Amino acid sequence: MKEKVLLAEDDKTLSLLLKFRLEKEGYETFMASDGNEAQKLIESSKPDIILTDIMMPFSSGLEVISFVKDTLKRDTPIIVFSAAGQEEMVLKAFNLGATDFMSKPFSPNELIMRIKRILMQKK
Amino acid sequence: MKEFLNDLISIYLSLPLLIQVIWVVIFVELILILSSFIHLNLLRSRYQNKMKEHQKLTDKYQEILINYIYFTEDEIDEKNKTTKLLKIAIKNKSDRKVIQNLILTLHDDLTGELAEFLETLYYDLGLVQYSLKKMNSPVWFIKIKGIREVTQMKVKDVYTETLMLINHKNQLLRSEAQLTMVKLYQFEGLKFLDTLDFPITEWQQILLIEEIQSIRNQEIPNLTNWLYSKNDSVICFSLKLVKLFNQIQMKDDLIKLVQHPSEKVRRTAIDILGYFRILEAKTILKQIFKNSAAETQLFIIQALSQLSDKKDIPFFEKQLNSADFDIKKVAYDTLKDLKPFLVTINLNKV
Repeated sequence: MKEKVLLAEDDKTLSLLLKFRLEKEGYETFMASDGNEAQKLIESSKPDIILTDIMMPFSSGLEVISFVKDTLKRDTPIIVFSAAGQEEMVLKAFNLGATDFMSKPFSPNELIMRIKRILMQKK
Repeated sequence: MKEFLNDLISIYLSLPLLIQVIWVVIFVELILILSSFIHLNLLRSRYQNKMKEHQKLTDKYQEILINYIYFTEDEIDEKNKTTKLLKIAIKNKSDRKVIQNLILTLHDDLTGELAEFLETLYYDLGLVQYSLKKMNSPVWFIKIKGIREVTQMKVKDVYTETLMLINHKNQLLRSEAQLTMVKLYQFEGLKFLDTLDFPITEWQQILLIEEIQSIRNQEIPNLTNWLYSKNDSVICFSLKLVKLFNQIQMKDDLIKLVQHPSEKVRRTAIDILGYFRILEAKTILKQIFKNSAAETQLFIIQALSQLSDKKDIPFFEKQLNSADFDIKKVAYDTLKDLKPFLVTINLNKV
């Protein structure tokens, strides 16, 4: 069975690029363009890993992490995308339970490696 | 209807002149409001159509671009077809804007292989030519847009075009051109300092140094010529580079600059002499101390405190009588290090 990845990112081009790459690697990908959509998809699709941007419309990546860890009480690994100057937010994300973070600009190859490593550790 | 209109006109004509004028004004204003309302609605619908068209194009080229990025070696025919399609598309202004924007935005978020791929694609599609056109625009902010595009996409063959903008009358454009020189050509790009007529602001110096610090190549250029530039800010900036790269072998030039006509250059040179602990500078620093401005005296005494030994105790003791509190404080601190016991006695006397 394919492992499920939820990608929450408001930049549509980047989302599509990552989705394409993730599907090429054999993952089933769910895309959300804001925090609210991400929360709904997490509840319904139960992903194996979540990739989320910190700054998103409606509700932020931090709220998404809190929703997974505190409301749903799931231990789904979460990789956070951050931009330069969001170091404080990254620290907050780790405090809330994020597993890893990647600073934009990043390499999709590196992202895939991190996803594989985290999912292997989970098993 | 005709009768109704005739009645209206006769009623209007029977009114006093002032009321007639008021009615005309009300009528004209109503027409103006109505026409503005129609005009705004037209503008809004035109803008909405434009946005819809833009979104449509974005969705179309987004898909094409992403498929293009992930074409495999077996799909070479498909790839060539898409290249042709994109090359034709960029001839159209609105399509080009969308494609260019997509490539630049995506490039902003990516590093590694994919970022390099987008840089090559930008070049291969001929989008560089349009960025160069922007650089040659008579409007300064369009020039800046062009410069930023070539810098982001690491287009290397814009040396002459960028160098020509170094002395542009617009400060923002000048700053952008200077940063581009360093970002694209690294130490080689610093040659703009040879011909720079305008001062480099402190903030610009910080930005340039930040860029310089990220250069991996460690072949530091010869900074000597810039230390004798006619532009004082170039000298100050070069002095900062001397400090940054620990160019201690340039001590003779630093000592010469202690007597430079510009107060700022003198202070920067003095500060670096202290930082490098160049003992040969001690005599000249003491010589110029008396006739220097109070703020420069502070720089000198701070530098001297880095170079001092017991022979300098009389000099620092003399400064204990200075009217300037900061100078007195540096003198006390230095004396405390040189001869702690003596200072304790002196302090007790005070």
